[in-house]
Amino acid sequence: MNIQSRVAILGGAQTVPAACRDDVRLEELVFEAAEAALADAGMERGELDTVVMAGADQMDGRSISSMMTACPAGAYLKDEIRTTVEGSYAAVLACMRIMSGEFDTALAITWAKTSESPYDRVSTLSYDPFYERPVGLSDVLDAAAVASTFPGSKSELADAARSVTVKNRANGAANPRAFLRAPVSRELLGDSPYVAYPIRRAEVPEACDGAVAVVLGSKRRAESSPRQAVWMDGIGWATGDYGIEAAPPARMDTLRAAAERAYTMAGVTDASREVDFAEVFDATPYHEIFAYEALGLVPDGAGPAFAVAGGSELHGDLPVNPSGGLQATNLRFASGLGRILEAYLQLGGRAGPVQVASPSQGIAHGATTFPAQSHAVFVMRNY
Amino acid sequence: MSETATTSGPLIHPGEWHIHYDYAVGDTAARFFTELRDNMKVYARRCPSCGRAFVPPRAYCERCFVKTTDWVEVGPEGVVEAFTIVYEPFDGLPVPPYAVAYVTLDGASTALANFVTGVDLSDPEVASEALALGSRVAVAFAGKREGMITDFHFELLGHNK
Ligand SMILES: [Zn+2]
Repeated sequence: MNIQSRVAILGGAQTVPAACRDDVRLEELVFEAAEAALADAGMERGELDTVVMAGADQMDGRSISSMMTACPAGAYLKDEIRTTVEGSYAAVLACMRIMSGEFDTALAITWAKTSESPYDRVSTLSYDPFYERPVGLSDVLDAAAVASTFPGSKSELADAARSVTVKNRANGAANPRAFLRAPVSRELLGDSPYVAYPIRRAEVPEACDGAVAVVLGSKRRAESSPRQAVWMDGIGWATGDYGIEAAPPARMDTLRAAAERAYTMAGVTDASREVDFAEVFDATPYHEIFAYEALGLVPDGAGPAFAVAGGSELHGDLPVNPSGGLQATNLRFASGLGRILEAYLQLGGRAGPVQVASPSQGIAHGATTFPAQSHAVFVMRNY
Repeated sequence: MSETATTSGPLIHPGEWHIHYDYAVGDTAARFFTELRDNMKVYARRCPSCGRAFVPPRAYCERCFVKTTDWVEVGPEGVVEAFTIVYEPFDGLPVPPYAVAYVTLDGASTALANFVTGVDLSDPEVASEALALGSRVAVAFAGKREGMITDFHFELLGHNK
């Protein structure tokens, strides 16, 4: 065994997101992404050493759904493993497996086919049966409760949330890989009814079906890759309490812990100066604002003003979610790997109309929806 | 004076998961089920690389990792690859005894499970001889078909040894 110091992304793909992919069954959707990712990396299935999946049985409506998806993901007679944490954790696990020195190449894959399931009901089932389910807690209720804990002006925060949604939907409109391609106006958002205060209907992105896959490889393997390698030089992840703690949840202490680890590993000392862009988890626009601060892109308390001033816009000082983020492409459970794929395309100069100007270092961030309990942060470089 | 809450045993909160899913069968399997329902035919999907014919049909070959292309009709006869005879009742399933077998239909490369009729199941030992691996069966269609796998079952063709 020979511990590998560096892991690179060698290729990746996402299926075209759609509200309902009833033309394919789940396994066929998975195959589509795996086949496209391997083609993008210029690799054959035979060159894969391991397949790492992220999937959630209750959303897939199949128990141990990886039994069905492993082989269409490329794992026939190969090593495979599945995590039930969010999509970005497939990349966490794939990186670790390559770093172990046991595997030279890995395919990390995740999927969302929520058109088949009653998402709100499924989401409620993640909650505690004694204390939380009877009260009806779900992803959106929790996100709203978390938003209420932000220690600043409520109206300033709501205004900033509108800026974020307008920005992300505009980026999505320009991004050929996004699901929601129509921009929204600040007025439309202001008129949108509340789902759960302070979150408005138009701030909860419509979900879509799709699968995302990236091919990763060791340093040695990357040297013979036909494409520009993008290095996963910092990886950090952390899990917080199941529930809301005394510390204001909007501080996202778990994300702070994950980011600190990723930055330490990559040698990033000041993300606000060293990072060229970030792709973050924005299940609601509030999540994105909290992430600005927790990722250290702006000082604490400065998140809302940064959003309103346009700092995170496509051509702003530090573009955040140039892809449009989840606000434009909400692959529930799978969006973290989507952030990694978009960051990978940015760093390879392949992001198309939403390309940021010659980036060399970016951040990708994935999180679970349940009060953002688990977070993973990646520092990615093209040098 | 403080009162202590007492219970007369473990406290249980009942719970139930009821989730309705709309599983998309996809275009490939939809063609298979439509042929069963409308034309009483069983179709397999062939891998252009290794030539295997998959029933149930698959849109891809997971070994060659390519999309499958052609449809080929298989059956209506086939051979028992594995079987069991059920003697205990299971929730939501037929009153036992009944037999289930994996059958490779003529022209197919993979086996498909379904119920088997035409066997006296009263004596397990005798019935298991009748269903021995290699026994020939034929597809028998139901009169009322709904585009489900239960639109047909297998019928034992008798001893072929
Ligand atoms: Zn094949």
